[in-house]
Formats: sequence, C-alpha cells, structure tokens
Amino acid sequence: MERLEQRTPSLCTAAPLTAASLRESLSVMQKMLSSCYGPFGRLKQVHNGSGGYVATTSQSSALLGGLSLSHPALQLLAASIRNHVSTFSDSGLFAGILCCQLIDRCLNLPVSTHRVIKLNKSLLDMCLSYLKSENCACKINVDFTHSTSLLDVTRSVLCSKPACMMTMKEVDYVSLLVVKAFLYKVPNESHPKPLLGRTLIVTVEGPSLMESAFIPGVLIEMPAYSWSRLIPSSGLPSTSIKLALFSLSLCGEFSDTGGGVIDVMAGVDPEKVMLDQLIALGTQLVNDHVQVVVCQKVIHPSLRQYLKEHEVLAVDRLGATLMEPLSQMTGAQPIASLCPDSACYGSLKQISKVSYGYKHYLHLLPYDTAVGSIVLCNRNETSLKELKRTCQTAEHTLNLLLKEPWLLLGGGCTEAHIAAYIRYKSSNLHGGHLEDLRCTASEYKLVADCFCSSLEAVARSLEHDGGEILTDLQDGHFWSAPPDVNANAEHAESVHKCGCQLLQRKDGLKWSVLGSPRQPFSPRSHSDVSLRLLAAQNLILDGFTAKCHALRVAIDTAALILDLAYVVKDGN
Amino acid sequence: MFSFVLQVAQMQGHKEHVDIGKILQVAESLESIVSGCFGPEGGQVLFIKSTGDLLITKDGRSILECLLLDHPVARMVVSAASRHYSITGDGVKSFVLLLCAILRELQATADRNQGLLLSRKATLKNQYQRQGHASRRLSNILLTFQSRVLDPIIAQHLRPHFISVFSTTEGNITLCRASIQRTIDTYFRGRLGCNIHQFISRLACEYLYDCFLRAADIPVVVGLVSKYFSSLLTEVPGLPVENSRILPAVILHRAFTVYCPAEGEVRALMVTEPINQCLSEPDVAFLVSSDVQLQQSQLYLRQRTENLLKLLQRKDIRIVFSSVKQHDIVLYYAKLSGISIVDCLPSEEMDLLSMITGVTPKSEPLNDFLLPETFPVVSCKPIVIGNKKYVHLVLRSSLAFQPHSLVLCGPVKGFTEQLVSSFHGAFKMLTQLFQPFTAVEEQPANNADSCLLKRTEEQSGTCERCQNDSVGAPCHPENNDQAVHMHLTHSEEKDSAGASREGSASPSCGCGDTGSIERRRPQGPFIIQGSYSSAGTGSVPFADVGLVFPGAGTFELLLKDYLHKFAKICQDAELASICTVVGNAFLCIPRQICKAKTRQIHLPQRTKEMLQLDSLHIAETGLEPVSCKYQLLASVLQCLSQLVAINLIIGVKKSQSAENEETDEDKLEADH
Repeated sequence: MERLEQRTPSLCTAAPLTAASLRESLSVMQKMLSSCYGPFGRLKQVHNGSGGYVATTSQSSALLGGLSLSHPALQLLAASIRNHVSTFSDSGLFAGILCCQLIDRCLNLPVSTHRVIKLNKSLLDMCLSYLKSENCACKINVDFTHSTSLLDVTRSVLCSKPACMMTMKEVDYVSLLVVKAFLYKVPNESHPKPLLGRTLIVTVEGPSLMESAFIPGVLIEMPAYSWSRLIPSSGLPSTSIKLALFSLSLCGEFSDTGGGVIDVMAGVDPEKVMLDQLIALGTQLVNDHVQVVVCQKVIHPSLRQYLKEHEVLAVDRLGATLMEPLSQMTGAQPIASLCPDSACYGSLKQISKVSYGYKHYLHLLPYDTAVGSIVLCNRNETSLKELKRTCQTAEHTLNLLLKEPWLLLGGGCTEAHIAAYIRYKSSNLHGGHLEDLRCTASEYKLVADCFCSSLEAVARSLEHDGGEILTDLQDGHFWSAPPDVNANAEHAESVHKCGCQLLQRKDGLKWSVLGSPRQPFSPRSHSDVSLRLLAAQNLILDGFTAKCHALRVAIDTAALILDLAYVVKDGN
Repeated sequence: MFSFVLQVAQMQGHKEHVDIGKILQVAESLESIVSGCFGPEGGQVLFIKSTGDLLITKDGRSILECLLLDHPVARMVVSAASRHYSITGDGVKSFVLLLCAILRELQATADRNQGLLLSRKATLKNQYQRQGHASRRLSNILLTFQSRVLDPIIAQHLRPHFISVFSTTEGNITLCRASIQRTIDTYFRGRLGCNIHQFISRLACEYLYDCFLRAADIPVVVGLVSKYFSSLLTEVPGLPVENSRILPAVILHRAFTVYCPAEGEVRALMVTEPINQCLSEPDVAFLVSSDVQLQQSQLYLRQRTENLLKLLQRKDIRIVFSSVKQHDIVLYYAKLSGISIVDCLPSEEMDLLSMITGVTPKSEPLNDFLLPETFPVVSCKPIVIGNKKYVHLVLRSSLAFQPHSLVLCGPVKGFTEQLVSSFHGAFKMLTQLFQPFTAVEEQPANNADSCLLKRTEEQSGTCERCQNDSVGAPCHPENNDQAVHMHLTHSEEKDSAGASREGSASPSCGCGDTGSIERRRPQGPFIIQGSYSSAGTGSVPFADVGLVFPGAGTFELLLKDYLHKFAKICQDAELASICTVVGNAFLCIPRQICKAKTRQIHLPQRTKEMLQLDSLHIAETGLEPVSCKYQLLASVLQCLSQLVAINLIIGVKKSQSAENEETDEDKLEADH
C-alpha cells in the first residue's frame, strides 16, 4: 500500500433517501426535465459562467452532459439516462421525468421499499407485455411501402425539439431529407450482400435551412484557396474514375525504424531515399491510370506536384472518419504499402465541386452504393448543433424500425392509454397473482396507483401553459384544453383532436380530468381502433424500441435509487 | 439527514492502548454500516469514487474497501475480511457481524466476571501486565477452541445434517440441479437487489450447466470458469439487466482489425510478436551505409511481410490472433490475402485461447521456414453486443470445459461492475463448494485434541452416547454399512437409511430432533447425506465435495446448541466460557435475518423448527456451502486471535519512514 498523500476516509451517509436534500434536488431535476419536454418545451441555456460555449437546448443528452450534479443519487439517474440516450438517442427526457416522478411518489408510500420495487417491476412487465402484444391499441405497424408513417415519426421527432428553430414548412422539408437518406441507405432485397449503408451529416452555418439537401456520395471539405492548387490543369476527371485510397502517410518521413539505433553514414540521405520511393509510387499510380489519390494523412508536396503534373487529383488529410465510408462507397482498399496492388483501386462515377454558403466541397459520387450525405444548413451555430443532434435522433429512430417495425402514438396518448390500461388491470386482479407477489390487495393498489399517476404526470409535462389535461373514457387518450376554459362542460367543446391527432372530438364521448380519481375503465382494444390507425394521416408518433427501453430504464433506475441504504463518497 | 464520519483517531506520532473495548468500538462502526446491507432485505450502497465514477454495490468487500478506513484495527479487519472473500467469494458481511458479536460477548463476559479469563495468573502485579497477559491468553484459547472444539463438533455432530448436491444412481454421479440452483439463489440474494437476484441466479445456474457435460468434471470446470472469468464475460452498460444472456463459445473483446469472411472450418494462428519487422530492434542497431542499401532493406522488409502473409494463405490459415498491435502494412497484406486479423488481444484472452486449443504461442517473430502450431476454428465472426463490436469465436474443444460467454447488462457502468464481481464471487463460492471438505476430517484417536472431546463425551453420559451412536464412529461395525448408503436418491434412502436410522437412533435430550431429519425425508429433490464420510471417502467419489447446508442461520443455530451443550460438560473453564461466548455470538446472524424480515420469531423455538427440513423449508432458507461456512468461522477466529493480541498501536511520523510499506506494519505491530 504505497501512497504519497494521506487519504481522508470516505464520507458515509446513511439512509440517503429520507434526506430532505434528495427530495429537493429531485424535484428541481424533475422540474427542469419536464419543462423541456415536448414540442412546447422551454429551452435551456447551458453555459459555464466564464465565457465558455453557450448551448441552447431542450435535449436530455446535451442538458445532462453539461450539468454537474451535486447529489449522488441524481448522478446515478443522469448516468443511467445518458447511457440510454447513447444507445437509443431518443426518449431520454421521458425516462428522466418518469424516474423522478416514480421515486418521489414511492417514497411517500407506506409500503416497504423492497415490496414497492418488486411490484413496480411486475407492473413494468405488465406494461411491456401489453405494448408487445397484438392487442395493443396504441401501437401501429410500420408499412414500408408507404412513407407516411416514416415521415410522421421523423416530423414528430423534429417537432419535439423547439431549439432547432424551425417553421412547420422547414420541419416538413428536413423530415423529407431524413427519410430520403434513410430509404437511400436501406439496401434492395435483391442485393446479394445486404449491408446497411450510412448517412453522413455535414453542417454549414449561415445559409437558410431550406438550402439543406441530401446528396448521394461523400463530401470532402476543401478550403477555397486550395482549389486552384488542387485541380489539375485539365480540370476534374470526368467519368469512370479510378481511385486509390491510402491509409499510409505519404509525407516521405524516414520513420518506422523500430526501437533500435539507426546509424547513418556520411553521404547517405534517407530523406532522398524516401522521396525516391514516393516518386516511384507516383510513377506506378500514373502507369496504372489512377485519376484520384486520396490519402488519410499527409502527401509530400513533391509527390503532389508530380501527380498534378500527370493530371492526377491528389487529396490529403482526409481523417479517419471518412476512410471507411469512402472505402465502402468506392470499393477501394486502404493501401498501407508503397507498392500497391492493382486490386486495391476503387472506382467513382463522378467528381464535382459543390458549394454551400461559404464552404466548398469536393463531391465524390459513387456508382451504386448506399452512402449518402445530408447537408444541414441553419442560421446560427447553436440551432445548427441542435438540428444535427435531432436529425441523428430521427435517423436512429428510423434505423430501429428495421428491427422492430412498430411505432407508438405520441403526444402523451401512449402514456395516458397505458395508465388507463394498468388501472383497469390492477383493479381486476385475481388473488393468485397477489399471492405470487406476496403482497396484499391494498398494497398492490397503492403501488399501481403510484405507477399510473407517475405515467400520467409524464404526459401532463407536455402541457406548459397551464391548460387542463383531459382524458376520454373510451380509449384513454390525452386531450389538452386551453387554460382559459374553466367550466367542466366547456372543456370538451374547446378541444378538437387528441395528443396524437388520431381521435377527433365527437358527441357522446365521456371526459374526465387526467389522473383524477374515477372508476377504472377498459380502453378499447386494437381491433376496435385498427381501421382508424390504418387510415390515419399526420399522426404524432414515437419510436417503439426507444420508448419501451426508456420505460424500463426509468423503473430500473428508480429501483436502484430506492434501494440505496448508504451513500459513500470518496473525498480525495 | 443522519451522516457521520467514522471516528478515526489521528495516528500520527502517538501511542494508543488497545483492548477489547476499543476493538469492539471500531468493529461496531463497521457493523453499523454492514448490517444495513446484510441479507436479502439489505439495501445497496452507492459509492462515488474520487474520479467521479459511480459504484452501486451490496457486496461487503466493496463496501468496506470503499470506506477507505484509516484506523489500523479497522484496516486489519477489512484486510482479513478481504482475504476471506478471496477464498470463498462471499461472507464479508457475515464476517464483520460475527466478529463484532464475538467481541461484544467477550466484552460482556469480561464486564460481568472480571476474573474469568485471567483467573490463573492473578499474581501479576500491575494491571497493565495483567491485561497484556490476559489478552495473550485469550488469543491462544481462541485458536485452541477452533482446533479442539469447533472442528470436532462440526465433524461429528453437524456432519450428519449436511446435504450433498450430488446424487448417485446406479454408480452414475449426477448433480442435483435444484440444490445447485438453491445454493446460487441464496448467494445472489445476499449480493444483489431484490428485483434482479432471481433472474441473475437462474442465469448463473444455466451458465454453469452449459459449461460442463459430465457431473464428474464439475470441480475442474468451475475452477476454470473462475480462473478465466474476466475473459468469459462481456459487460454492457446501458441496457436493462434482463438483456443479459449466455452465448455459446468465446467472445474476444476486440473488434476484427481486418475481417475477411470465411465459410466453414478454417485454421488459425496465435502470435505474440509483430509480423512486420523494422530496420532496427531495441538491441540491434542498423547501419545505413548507402542509399541503395537503405532502399533495398526497406523493400526487403516490405516483401518479407508480403511473403509471410502469402505463406499463411498457402497454408490455409485464415485467422491470426495477435497479442500485440500489428503494423498497417500487415493489415493491408492480410486483407489482400484474405486473412482476418484480431490484434491487441489482452494476455488473459490469449491464455484462454491456448487453454482451450492446447496451443501455446511462441514468443519469437514469425519466419517462413518454421511456422508455429495452428489450430482449427469452427467459426469466427464479428458480433455486436451493446454498441461495441467483438469477435465471436467457436473452437473445437476436447476439454471437459465447454466454453460459453456471458453477457451482463445493466443500466450504468457502476452497476454492471457489481454484477460482474458478484458473478465472479459466485464461481469462487462454487469452487469452494466443489473442493473436498477436509477441514473436518476425523482426528486420529491418539490425538490430544480429540482426546479432549472423547473425555468430555464420556462424561456426558447417555445423552452423548446415543448421539454418538446415531452419528456413528468408524470402529462400530453397524455403521459401516451405512456409509455405503451415503448417496442415495431420496426414494431409495427412504426405505434403507430411514429404516436403519429408526433402529440405531433414539431421540432424546435435544439431539433427538437431529436424528429426525432423516426420517422426515423431503419429497423434493434434495439429497441428505446419510453419514459422515471418514469410512467411505476412498470408495465413494465426491463424498467430500458439494456439501451444503440450509441457510438463513440454521447452521449457526445448530452449532450454538452443540457448543452450549459442550460447554456444560467441558471441564476447562476457560474453554467452556469461550464456547458459550462464541455460541451466543452465533445468534447474531439468524437474529439479523429475522430482524430484516420484520416477523419476530423467538429464536430458541426456531432452532427446532429449522431442523425439520423439508423442501418447502429449504426453499425458504436456501442452501449454503458448508466449506464456506466453515471457512467463515475459521477466518473470524483467526482474525480475532490476532486482534486481541495487540495491546498498543504506535503511530509513526511519516517523515521518519522512507518506505511506506513499513509504516503499515509498524502501526499494527503487536508488542508481545
């Protein structure tokens, strides 16, 4: 045990959950997260107070990444959500709010913690098995032959992040781009080696958002001044272009000599030897009729000059990120030897110059592959960054559809609907189930109530303007009424569509305030709403995989935090 | 908010007298923390490391270690507990509880009866000397107690209650899955939160069963799993625990550096050196004498690499596993030759590969005339787990061990770490379970230790004798045939062992209910070992391995009964008092479990209830390996005997000690 400094013993806090400080910070966290939630969420500015970068955002990833949390339990919560977001990109806020709500409510229950945890888990299982069942009335199957639902879900994702500062028209435009890019990279069934392509996102600050575009192929940024130096006198090569891709540095440095000593006798010039080899390489490339040389690292000016003289376009300093897409796109093998094999060359259909705003790009267009680029333009840096993150989320959500082709109704309807379903189920529970869980009926009811009201509280967080939240007693959807209407009878008059835009107001529909005590009812099953689901247009939709996982993360994390007996902090 | 810093005396440069009271004080502060996390109802501890990383744990060792205690006594306890953990993979919390309970009892005895433990040498004049002598003596007695009383009692009286996880039907040894599952269940119940322990313990049991083919191989297999654990396991933070699963064959925790798809069975090679050679080596200098020479040398090296990989291609080698990073040029030529490369493999994974394949990699550069040994690979494909890419490798294994990989998921990193460590602990526990339980071998009759027990037994009269009969001694002819029935399935044993038991055992005075175990034969799949093994060790394999005992404090309650009985008849007053002290202290564990369950049961009554072993009951109490239990007692007694022998702690100023290692020992040094 060797140590240079005296360690201080850790600080141990017993029963951390009874502490008022946890309640306080939990409620601050919950308020912060829920105020960000949804299309009308309030934006947060994250900055370090000493002139650093200011981010305007309402995304959980950006928000939690920028915060330093004081309470250990909140650090745990944040770590859990960030892990979720890094895997699924979406539903971070949902998980966060639900977890905070659940912890807060469970702490007030007069039931032992372990029992609460077990019951929450069984309720979660009930939710998930409902969501996965055929009978689920808040789920739609994705029809890949139509782009409707793909566009709907992309639009919902883009809308839910107001910090992108987009008008409805712009949202429609960008969602079209994202869906186009997604469809482009999904291989045709006939393809012998079905390999999902990739979409690269290029951001340009300055031009209007409507100048964003989707382009097949890869864009390589070129500073304006290097254009004239770069382009051979005959211009860009025209069609069926042979390309060599180097992962090896062509800078001509005498390196990689091993760990031992190299003695160089007088009169010997290793640099010259290296340069000779480079020129020999250049000659070989020219003889092989290579028209474009792309190097991950640096190309020696002499080699570059030599190639230019021989009408070969040489691009260097590509960076590691573009190597793989380029290799996939052109079929070129990254070359790591000064004597390349002719089998390693790839091919390109076309090379051209494109400009967006003040930035210039070399556009490499392949013959037939699934690599594409989205150019995103926006007026300022913050909203551009937010837009990029949002587009990545949308892209990820679409990717997940390939594995689980379902979408959930958004706009709070899924949460309200599940809560209604669980309330109904838990009120009609048979005794055997309770025996398995080793709890009494009243305990079960308390915990189920707490679970459902936490879900409903998440749905409520979508409303930021003090409006009243209603639910119908037929499907258990989410209806938001404007704040200025007070009398109960008039609520129904003022709302026209539910949160997910599936249902329209009609006569004879019964209403109740969401979360208010009422007789549990059984929401209509899938078969009753399936026709409507098929015909529906312009719905608000959420990704299925991410949401289910977020639900699970929230419950699991709440269980972890509720089970804490001690918090030990190493103060060193 | 109730928060406290462990009271730690500043040790720098002063002396501190130590007695049982002081030790108890330290131990109690540890106990107060550990007891909150003890047993199935215990909570978890969130530890924030100095780096800001989180660790969520219920594991006693992690909890004690993360406290970073400064007091030398506390550190001694922690290191003794950790040592215990490294053997059994479990039991740190019980260790602290038991240690504390014994200390408390000792203290209480000392308070009640000042003179008991130092009655003989009351002539020593000053109190300081007297105290020193007493503690020294106590230390000796504790060790004597272990060897003379505890070991024989376990060997003779507790042995009949042991249950074996093996069963023998017509000479075939089979492993009783229900018992194993139960044992693993009990382990995880103490280690993980209430919502996941069941899922994880099923996974662990399934994993164990996937890894072996014949029950006879299991001790070897468990040992191997425990040894190569880190390589057999993949940690995935960011997914729910329910996504944890078992994958057949091996996962290498690196992505393919070069991947060339290959169908069917191919051959592979392991290297530990770079394939590409450079101009110079660390101990070989290179002299550049002319431009041409340099150019030729560089060309030669390139061609050498190219030729080597072409040679591998000709030899039908399609995969190269490398422990070092390979140069880009190697990757390039490998891609051209259709050879996949996995490089930067950690040494543990190389070891695992060579263990499974039986091929040891040579630590010299490849050359074209002597290639190292190759091995067949059934399939080798990239696999994505979580969002990382790994290599999924299926090898043909001729070993008893069927390699399988375990993917453990959890919402955060600090939690998966805990899952991993608890899994590792489980396999340590199983290793211990499948090791011969030699600690309670019958002592030879001429041994002084057993003489002591013999003598007391004779004095005990009818009670002891009938017990002796029911347990059986090797010299009694009627017991030899019982040894043959040692591992019977429950149906057979019901007739034979039960019948013979009826004849020989006559229940009386407390031992009666021990004899009744065999008659109240469980209808479940549990096999109760009929007799202790000294007579049959040679003839019946696995007689000494895989012994388990009902958990939830049954072991301690039973042992306490026997210790108290022994104390009554023991003539050595000191030993008798230690027996009472330790026996009382044992109660702390069942008490702790009861306290957590909130239904208060009067303990002495429970002793009898506990012994009525039926499968329903075992389902509630769970099973625990006997050897771990025994190890726990031994570790606690040893630690205790060390602790009580200390009477002075000397703090050494930091500036005086050049070597920090020395100071630790200085602080703990006992001066007697």
